Amino acid sequence: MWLFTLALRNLFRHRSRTLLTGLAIAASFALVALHMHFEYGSWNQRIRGSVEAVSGHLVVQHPDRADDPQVEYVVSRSAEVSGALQRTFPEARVLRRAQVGGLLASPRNTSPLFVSGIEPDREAQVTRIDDLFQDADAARAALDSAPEPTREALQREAERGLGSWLEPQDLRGIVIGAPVARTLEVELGDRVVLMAQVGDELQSIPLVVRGIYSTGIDRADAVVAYTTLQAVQPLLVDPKTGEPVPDPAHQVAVHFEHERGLDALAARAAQAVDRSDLSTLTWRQAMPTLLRQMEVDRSFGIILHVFIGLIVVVVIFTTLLMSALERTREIGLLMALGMRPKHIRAMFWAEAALLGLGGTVAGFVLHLPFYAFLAYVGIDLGDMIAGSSDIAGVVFDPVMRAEFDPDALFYYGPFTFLLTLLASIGPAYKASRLTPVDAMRHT
Amino acid sequence: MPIVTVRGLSRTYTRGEHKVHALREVDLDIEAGEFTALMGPSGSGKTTLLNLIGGLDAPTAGSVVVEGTDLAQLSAGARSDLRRERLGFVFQAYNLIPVLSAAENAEFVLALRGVPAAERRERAHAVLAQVGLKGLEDRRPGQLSGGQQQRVAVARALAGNPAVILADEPTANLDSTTGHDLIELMRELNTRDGATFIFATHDPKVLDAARRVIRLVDGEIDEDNRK
Amino acid sequence: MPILLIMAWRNLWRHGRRSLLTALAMALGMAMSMSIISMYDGMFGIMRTLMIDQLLGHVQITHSAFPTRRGLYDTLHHADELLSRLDALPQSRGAVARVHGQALLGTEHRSAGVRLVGVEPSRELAVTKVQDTVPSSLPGGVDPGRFLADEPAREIVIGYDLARDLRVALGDELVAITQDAYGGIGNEVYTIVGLTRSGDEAMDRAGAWLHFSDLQALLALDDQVHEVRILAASDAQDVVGGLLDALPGALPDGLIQDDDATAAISPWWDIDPMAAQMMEMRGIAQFMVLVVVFGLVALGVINTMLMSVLERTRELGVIKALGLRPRGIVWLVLYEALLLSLLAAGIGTLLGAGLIAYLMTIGIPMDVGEGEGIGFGGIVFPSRLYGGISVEAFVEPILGVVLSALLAALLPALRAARLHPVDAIRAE
Repeated sequence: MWLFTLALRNLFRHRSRTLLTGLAIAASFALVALHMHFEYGSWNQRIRGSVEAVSGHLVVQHPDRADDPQVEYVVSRSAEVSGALQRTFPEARVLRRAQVGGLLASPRNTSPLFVSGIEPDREAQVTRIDDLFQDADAARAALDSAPEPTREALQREAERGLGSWLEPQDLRGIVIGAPVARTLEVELGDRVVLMAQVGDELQSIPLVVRGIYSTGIDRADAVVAYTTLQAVQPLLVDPKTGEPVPDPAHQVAVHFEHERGLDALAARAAQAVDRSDLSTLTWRQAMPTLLRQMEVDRSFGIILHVFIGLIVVVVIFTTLLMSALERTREIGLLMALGMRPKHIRAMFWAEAALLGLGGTVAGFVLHLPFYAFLAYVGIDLGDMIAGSSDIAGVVFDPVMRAEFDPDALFYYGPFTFLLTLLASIGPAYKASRLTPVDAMRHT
Repeated sequence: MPIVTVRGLSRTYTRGEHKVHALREVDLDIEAGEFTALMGPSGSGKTTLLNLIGGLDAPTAGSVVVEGTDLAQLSAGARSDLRRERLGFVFQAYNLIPVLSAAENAEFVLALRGVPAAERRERAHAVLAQVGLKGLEDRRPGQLSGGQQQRVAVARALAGNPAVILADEPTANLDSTTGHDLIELMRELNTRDGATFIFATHDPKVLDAARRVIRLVDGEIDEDNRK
Repeated sequence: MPILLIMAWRNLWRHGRRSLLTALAMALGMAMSMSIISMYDGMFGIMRTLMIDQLLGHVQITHSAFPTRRGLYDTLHHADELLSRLDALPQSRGAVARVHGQALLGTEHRSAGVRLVGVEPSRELAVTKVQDTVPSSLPGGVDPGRFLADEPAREIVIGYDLARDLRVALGDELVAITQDAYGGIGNEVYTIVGLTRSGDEAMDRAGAWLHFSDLQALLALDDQVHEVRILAASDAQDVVGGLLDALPGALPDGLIQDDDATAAISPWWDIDPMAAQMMEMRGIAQFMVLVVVFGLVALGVINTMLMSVLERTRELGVIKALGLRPRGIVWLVLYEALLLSLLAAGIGTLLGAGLIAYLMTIGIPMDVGEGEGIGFGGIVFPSRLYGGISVEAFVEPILGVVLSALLAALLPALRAARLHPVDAIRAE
């Protein structure tokens, strides 16, 4: 204990140097932690968006569909599957979806896109696409009485959704993106035709435009439209026989409030579904590419963090070495009084440990307000991030918000601390190798 | 006209709760060419008076006029300029700049004044020769003895042809022979070149050499004798 | 040489080891930022080539309704004459005409809604090098084939991902069904000659290239085109700006044969603001990296300079007493920091150049499977990313290290300048 008391006093004696070195440790920890939280937040956001729109926490689908999203990989008798899952998980939201690629045609033009056949009321509970219409209605209502400065924002909000989201029983309705509406030159209530190939036949499904949405990301909005599952079911036939499949869908997705114990839930779901022609996957299994992207991204981040660590090590090393050389006399005195080299080393390490611990803790405290800003206010990246249409139809929130990455605390925290100790090895040995006489003579 | 005029000069320090009156209403005139020693026990105000005359410190009350310029009227920067242009300093502990050679130390003030390199180099060699350090121009302070270092300090003070050279205990760190030689040197510079010196000292050798001895007690002038 | 500079240089070597270590930390920071800029050079080089050369061009000339509506009838006439005039413009590197259409493209069993782009291969080769979107190899030894032949031969080149979705390979035939300019159904059979993997997700997953005569025939467009795009002689804003100014005078009569429309001349940043934003983001990201790295480095420099000033308190007091103005003291400390940073810049440049050489030749593996790299903003990067080289990669870190050192030294320098000479000389 006396070791730490001595170390603490030494640190206090050189207050400005201790403060600066501590600040270097704190700043490096805070910067890396903030970077980690931000990356964590943006990945979680991306994952949540994909879980909402693409897979669900659990998804029941044809075994081959995860790798190869072919139109023929269907879930037959999907309502039965959905019912079984809903009975097993009464709290969860279970929804069916199908996605077909085709050409949407108006008398004026055509547009290639993917049409999602969904269950409108259930979809509305999970994804946010329907919110655009409600928000737009609210914005329109507020627009007349709104003061001038807020009008522009409201106007933009109002343009996010024209018309309404689909009604559950609306077998002929379609909701399209604003770019599609411009290309086809159609308005609310206009007729369009969805052309798609079924077997070797060209099928045309007549639909009516109920809603026109704009997430603000034209690239994504140009390729995704929504209609009811029933409307696209005629397009899902057995490709070999050309025969219709009973009540088909591409997936039955299950959403929970949280994803704890997902593997066990998946096992229960598989049991409940009890169909050998279907597989039950967690979102991790259903979206392997997304996870791999995340891993690659994170490993690139780690290289940066190590580099930053290296810079800090050199800074700390310099400071501690100077401190060792400056205190030559004092060390000589301590040795003359009977302190052994290993005690001197221990004293230096105790100083480094206190410095590392103090710096890391200070960094943690220091980064909290910035973290709070990034978490609650976020950075508005506009439409930069969302263009990644590897998952078409995911509605991204353009405001990136940080989320607390526990790794920052449990992995980078100790790492920073260890770096400080690492940097103190050399200077401690240097100090302990002085002989008392040399040291005392030195002025 | 006196080269330095001091009127009603007081300097009070606050040490915690106490007020220390280092100087109390001192009046003093120094004429050009004088070789003056300020003496008195420690804490009598010698160094304080020297610092005030050199513009290194600001008085609590009173004025210091050097060559007709009232120091109180000058900004900190202008006081720096005055020190550089018109004053020379010799400190107790040599206080040479360790990274500069003897010649570079001697020409330092000239360099600050912007004197061309060749001219100031010549002058530095000349003053070093005057103080008897010919041949040691390129040595760094660490390679010189204490007496030699103090000679460099004197050379540095002389190099700029100052109106007044202020020396605070110049012999305190020297053995008696070396101290004696240094005083002889300064005395010679005074008589031959007319350089004005003011010393703060309690070295009897300096007092012997001085033509005017001012005795300070508790911040006041107790005696002022011209020989 | 000014005496203060000489003193600063010698002061630096009073604690040579400390100076060298500090310089090492600074050099590491430089090497790190050089590597990151090099990677940005590589990545944004890919993005630039893809976005400007292949996807957007610098400037597009279209029917005024085409950018928003992308209508089949929003066409340009006499494109040949326009192209030959554009070729003559000094700010232009070349121009190409393109036809755009949408079709249901498929085999007997499967189909997809696809964007069709009609090009003139010989012109594209000289200007946009769209031929490069057909890679030299594909994962699993799949033969990528070649780009379209110069003469129309009902050939089609489709995206690799689209080919996988449709389960087709080179030599297979695809049927395109579309609405033609007369409102009828146009259809035609094409032979697949090549597969693209451009990195543009939209085209790789749902796009196909045809000879523009073939596409004109499918859409019954005669010899009209939808778009003429020009590549400027360089990316520089003033060159593109000059091109924009010169274009209105270069348009031939009868280009637009539509009474209520005009010709639209749109620079690439107006056509795809998102792409422009992404390119701009580079500057912000790079600046952030420099701020973070040199912020940390600056803490090390403050430390060293503060020590250097504190241990010389008495000496600084003497110098001040001798008549050096406070500003001179500030310079003395700043010179020392400047020399330190120049030393660091030397070491850092060597270190960074080594790292850049590594990144340019060996690169960083970023495979997320299927030979694809990470995706960002609709662009899929290659599975191995290589660094690039630019003047910026050297200049910015050098400026960073020098400026951060000077900034960091300012605090100790001001502290030194404020020293009271009497106290300082008395200090032990």
